[in-house]
Amino acid sequence: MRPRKVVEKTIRTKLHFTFDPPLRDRLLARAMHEQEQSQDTEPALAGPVIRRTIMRSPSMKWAAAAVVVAAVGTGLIGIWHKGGQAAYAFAQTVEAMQGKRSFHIQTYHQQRRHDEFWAEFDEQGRLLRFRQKEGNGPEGSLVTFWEDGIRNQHLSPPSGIRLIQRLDNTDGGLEGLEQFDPETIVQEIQALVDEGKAIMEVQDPPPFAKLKTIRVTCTDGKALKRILVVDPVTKFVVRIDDYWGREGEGLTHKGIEVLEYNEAMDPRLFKPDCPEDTIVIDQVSQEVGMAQGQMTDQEAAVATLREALSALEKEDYTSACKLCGGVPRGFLIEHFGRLRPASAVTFDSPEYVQNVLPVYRVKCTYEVERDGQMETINPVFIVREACGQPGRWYVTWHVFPGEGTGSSDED
Amino acid sequence: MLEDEWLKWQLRRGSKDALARVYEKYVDSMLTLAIGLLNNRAAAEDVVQDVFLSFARSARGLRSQGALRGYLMTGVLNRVRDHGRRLHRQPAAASTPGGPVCGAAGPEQAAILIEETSRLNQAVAKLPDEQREVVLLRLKAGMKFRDIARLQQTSISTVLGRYRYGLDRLRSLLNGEVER
Repeated sequence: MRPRKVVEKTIRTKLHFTFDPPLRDRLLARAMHEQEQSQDTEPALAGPVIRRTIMRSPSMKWAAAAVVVAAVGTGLIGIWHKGGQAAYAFAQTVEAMQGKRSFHIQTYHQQRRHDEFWAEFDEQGRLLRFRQKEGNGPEGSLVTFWEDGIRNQHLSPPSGIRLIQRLDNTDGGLEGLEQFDPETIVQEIQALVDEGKAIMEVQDPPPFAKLKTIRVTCTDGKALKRILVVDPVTKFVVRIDDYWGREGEGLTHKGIEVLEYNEAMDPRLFKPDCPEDTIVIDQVSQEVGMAQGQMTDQEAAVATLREALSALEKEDYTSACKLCGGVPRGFLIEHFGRLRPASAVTFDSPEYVQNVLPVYRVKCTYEVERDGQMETINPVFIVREACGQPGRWYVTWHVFPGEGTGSSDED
Repeated sequence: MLEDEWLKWQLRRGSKDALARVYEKYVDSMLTLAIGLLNNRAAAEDVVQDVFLSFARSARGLRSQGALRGYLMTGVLNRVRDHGRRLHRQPAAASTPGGPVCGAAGPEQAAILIEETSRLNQAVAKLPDEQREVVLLRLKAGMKFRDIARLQQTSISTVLGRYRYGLDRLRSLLNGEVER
């Protein structure tokens, strides 16, 4: 987490004072008394209303009308002289982007569409709900929904899986959303410029075009160029493109397009709508995996896998389902049935996979029975700490047959 | 937000329940802001009492279009400024705010929380006035930068700068503790 964000979070969550209960009660009682008193002394009649005074007299009516006409005329002349074009300053965009209540963002990677986000916030800018759509290839897409501390991830067919987990936003699981937040991005740019770490160049739109382009170049040694497109009427940022790398060395591109900002959103966007045949893995309503206890992460990863394979060997599917993250029995038999051990299992050292929560790849070697023949296999399992169930580890459904190097996509 | 609109509507009709709800909802945030700004618990309690009693007296004529939180917090800020003209903010080490803090399960945890909160408050106390106002109004009162800019009668860029410098200074004052 970035340092300023850490300080913000600390002040938000830890600096808090309350009244002593007796004083608290006394103050409320006094406030109620004051409220009551004020009602008793409320004047019976409201004072004279200006509108009523004006409308009572014909001469006042004409005078008021003349004042209105003069004011409108003066305003129009002012606009005519300025040509409707006030000087633009980036601070106007920073101000306009304040107070986010919602956004709809399309992200780009190397000029290609990547993820799409919809997010809604409360009046203090805290995330209320979000939806993220990733990927759209032959392997299907992953749509993530989050609301009230529950994350729903829907892997479209051919996987056809819905994973439900508890995920508290304060744990940092969703803070990655900030890197796509246009309000935060423009504030960061303003900060860089103010601190002399970047220079900004505002370009007026060419004739008949209306959007302004702003080029931001880092001067603190970072090979980053940012190009922003701003609507000069609303002052909203419409698009932000980041280019990393030196000229002539191949640039890495990441961009966001702000499709909607502070627009009302259809509530259905944030409700998972999966086909009926979707396999549901619910890690909220049931405890999954096994407790880590005093074991290290590596020991927990191996122990969990050992227990899961042992349960599979004994055809104890209730235990195996729990150890495999709460998958349904049919799914377990379909995916793990052919991996049922028929001999002792040996485990390699677990290999750490970078992730928000600890994730390990564990390779093991054992024999399985296939068509009456014994066959030695060395599958690689992904074992991880359960999201929303601290200290509990489970085996994911991602299994690599041999020396594969894939990684869990549950995050 | 919707609840606030409903509460305002009820307050205009003299509802005591609405007043109690507003009190329950915002009084601790008001106190936290006042203590943060003044670093003097007794003075902060006086400020909150003044603001809330004044709010109760005028609730029937409430015409505020914005959020109640912003309205009450602005009241606290203005009263603190008036107070500050009479009595300058206490030096950081002179007055450690005591009293209960939220979220303590037992006496031991309460003691830890009080110490932690007090340490944070001492760090906030060392910020220059403008930076402290921006940091507290943003983080504890939940106000938007543009509204803070209006309150401080300055530009949004200045407010953002004060906020950044405030956070950076807090970070160095807290000496890495926050990164735990």
